[in-house]
Amino acid sequence: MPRFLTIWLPRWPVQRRLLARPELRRVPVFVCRRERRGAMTVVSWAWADPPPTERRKSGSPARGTIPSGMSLAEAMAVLAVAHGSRACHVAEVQADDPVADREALERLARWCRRFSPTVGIEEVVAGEPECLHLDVTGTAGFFGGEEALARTAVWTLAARGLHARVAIADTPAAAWAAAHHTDIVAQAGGESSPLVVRRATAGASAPGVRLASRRRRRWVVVPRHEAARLAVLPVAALRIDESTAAAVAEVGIDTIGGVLALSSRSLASRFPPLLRRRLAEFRGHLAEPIMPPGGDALPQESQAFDFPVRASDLDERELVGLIEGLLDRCLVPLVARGVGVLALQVRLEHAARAAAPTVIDVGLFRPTASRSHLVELVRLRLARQRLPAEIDGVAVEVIAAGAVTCRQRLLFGGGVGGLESSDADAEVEMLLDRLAGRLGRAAVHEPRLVGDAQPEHAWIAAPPGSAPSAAGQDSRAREVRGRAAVGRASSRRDRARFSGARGCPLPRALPAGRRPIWMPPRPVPLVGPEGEVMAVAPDGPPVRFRLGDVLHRVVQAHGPERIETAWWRGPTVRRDYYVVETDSGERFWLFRRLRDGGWFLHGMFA
Amino acid sequence: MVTFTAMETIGRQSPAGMPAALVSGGDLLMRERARPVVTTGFRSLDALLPAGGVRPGSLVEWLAEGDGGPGAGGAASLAFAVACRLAAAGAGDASEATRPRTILVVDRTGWFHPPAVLPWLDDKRRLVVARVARDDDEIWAIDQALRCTGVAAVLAWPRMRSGARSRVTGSQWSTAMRRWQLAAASSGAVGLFVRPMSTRSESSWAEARIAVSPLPGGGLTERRLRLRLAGGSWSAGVAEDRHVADVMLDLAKGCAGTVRTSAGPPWSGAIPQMMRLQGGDSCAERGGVACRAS
Repeated sequence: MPRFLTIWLPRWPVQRRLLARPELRRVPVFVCRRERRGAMTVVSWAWADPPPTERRKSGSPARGTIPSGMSLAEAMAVLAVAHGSRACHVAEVQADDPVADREALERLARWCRRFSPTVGIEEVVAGEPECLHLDVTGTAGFFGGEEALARTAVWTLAARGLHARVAIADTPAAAWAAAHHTDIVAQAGGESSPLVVRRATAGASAPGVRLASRRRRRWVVVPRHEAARLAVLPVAALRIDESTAAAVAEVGIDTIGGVLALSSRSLASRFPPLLRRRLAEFRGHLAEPIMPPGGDALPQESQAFDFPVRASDLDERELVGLIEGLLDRCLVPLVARGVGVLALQVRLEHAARAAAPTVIDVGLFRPTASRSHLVELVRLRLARQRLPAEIDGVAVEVIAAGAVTCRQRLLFGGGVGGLESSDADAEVEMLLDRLAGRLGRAAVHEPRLVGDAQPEHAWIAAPPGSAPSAAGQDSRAREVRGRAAVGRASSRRDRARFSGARGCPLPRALPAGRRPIWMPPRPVPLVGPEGEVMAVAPDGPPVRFRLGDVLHRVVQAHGPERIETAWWRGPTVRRDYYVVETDSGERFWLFRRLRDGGWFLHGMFA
Repeated sequence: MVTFTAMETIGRQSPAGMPAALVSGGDLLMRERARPVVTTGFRSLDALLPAGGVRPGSLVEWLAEGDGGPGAGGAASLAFAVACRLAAAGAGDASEATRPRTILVVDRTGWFHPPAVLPWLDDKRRLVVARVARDDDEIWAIDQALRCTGVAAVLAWPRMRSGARSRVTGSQWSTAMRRWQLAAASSGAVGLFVRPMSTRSESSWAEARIAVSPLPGGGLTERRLRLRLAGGSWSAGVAEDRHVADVMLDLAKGCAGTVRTSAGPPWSGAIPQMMRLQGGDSCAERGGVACRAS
């Protein structure tokens, strides 16, 4: 019995942009297409990480009522009704780029070959693809079963920052329908019929990405029960176009079960041929081939051993040498095209042990064609990888490639230091690749200021080399965004000075020299066992405070600098910050929470 | 019976003179002193350093008050200001962008708050932060960064964690530091390490160890710091009366603050002859950063 796994990436155009610019998670993002006469229509939109107050508005009209094809002006009006006009001011509008979306999906499809050797992108009647189909016939056992495979897929994609819904069924069409309508399946009896539809709640979530419910992200439909148990799904789950759906709705049928109840003669005479074709695909009567990702084929090399080799007998140098040889063969066609490797996957096959292959992912911040650099990155990952007991073969696959920037070297060298600037940059890029290879990509970042007055959120960790957040934005939009997101950061003495800077983007409005270089992840309360604070005036600065075992006497205090967040972005943060200097010369950043007068340590001028 | 010392034996075996790989300590000292140095932007701090500035390819330790925690004495801020100076020296070189300009911060504590120092950088994309969770990762990351010829300075606070001490022993630390010294010497990067004062008794391969203690006073965006030369491999070259200096750090710009006549420095004198500025004699030529004696 063939089995297929469908990975649905809801609102893929937005998700792709959030991966590149994680700071956009905090604002509504609209991907729009420019129509004739300059009109903008919404292709996709999402607000991945809204403030808690907006998150609680689950019944707000903005959820689900901004369909694809709506004009941007209309969408903004809906957003303003649901979340207020400030949400429109901070919204990010980006132009549609279906080619880049498709290329990114193809890269992801190649990356998903860790789950199955047969991976393809869905074919859509209209719009852009958002799904991947994987033929998992016989491969689920390597992951501990179909449910474990679905869970692994969701978790692995979540680790990459992607929100996905996954379903496994007998046909790609049934898996597609189950992945898109997991909520309906659960409400209609999936939970009450555990033998038919096994519900599994997702334990992982994409960091910061909440494009849909955290639960019901994966479904495994028991073999041969699609027709019976997915009958409650709407007709649109058959992947039919709007005209066909309208024709079905005219006769009062709104579920797949209703369509399945019709005779083939009635179907042929009443509805377009697309419906019969989709039904045949849903039932498995018509095969739906899974085509591998198109475009320029990226090289893949593998070598199978005659017999399984025990990892304990395999020297690391031999294994690296084997990978280097395979990598060399992969690089030859790439170099001829002038492109380099951007992502690489090394798979250690050990099918004889009935386990999933050990996958080593290597990602780079810049494309490179340097074999030695790539081998070094693989070696770093191998050193921290637990190898399987036996290895049947090794496969090296290029997941993503990009154009390599070629530079002409100077005839007489690079000057005083022996290095040109570009060479120094290349050295730094290679260093960052090595650091990310061992520490993880999330551990290496470029700090970037963002427009947020709350100190904890005043900066984000952006991937090195990624585009700056202000690139390509309208200056007026930035100004409005800065004004809206800044909240209020004011001092009694300098209120006019800082409030006058509200029209500027926040990075410029940050009071230079007034932020500590050390900041704990969370404010440390100065009450109870951690410490205590004594202030003479109710609203005045502290005169002494105790932090741990040390009693600090304040000899000088600057402030208060009041920081308030905007009402619409969540639980209001209202704090009066003081820079206090102790008799020993140390400086601390304390604040009083205006809600209850509690004192906290929020930084040290180390 | 005629006996020869080892050096004389080598000299006899090599009529042309001493092998190139063998140099005497005096020659090594002269060679090191002949290498160009980069001013820190703080004149009194330059005088405190044995070379009259920071020598590319060397390590400098900043000993902060407090033990086991980051403290609030200003050592990390001063170290970052020096790192900015090193990066700016590369950017403003006469041969136009032939020097490394990247600052890499290896953050073990997770407490580093970039908004405090990002305004100090002309090119804010030259700051990269690597967060490490284990001791061996920290040692490896610092070693890799110091070997990179594109990195101007590596700033780290090894063996300093929020709430707990590192499990690296003193001997392991010394070995790691020797590796870092060799790595820095091979690339020209500068390692700036903020360490707790309690580690002062441990051996060090740093060229200079400077104890930083805060002084009361100063404005909101100014920081008065007292620096004491607390050892280092080349510290013997500094006269005893120059082992203490005061600096004023401008927290808004990351450079030397204004001169206060009421709080004059214990040392005031000419810049040593050995110090040569990289990329021009005037510090004020680089992004308006002024260097004055504090």
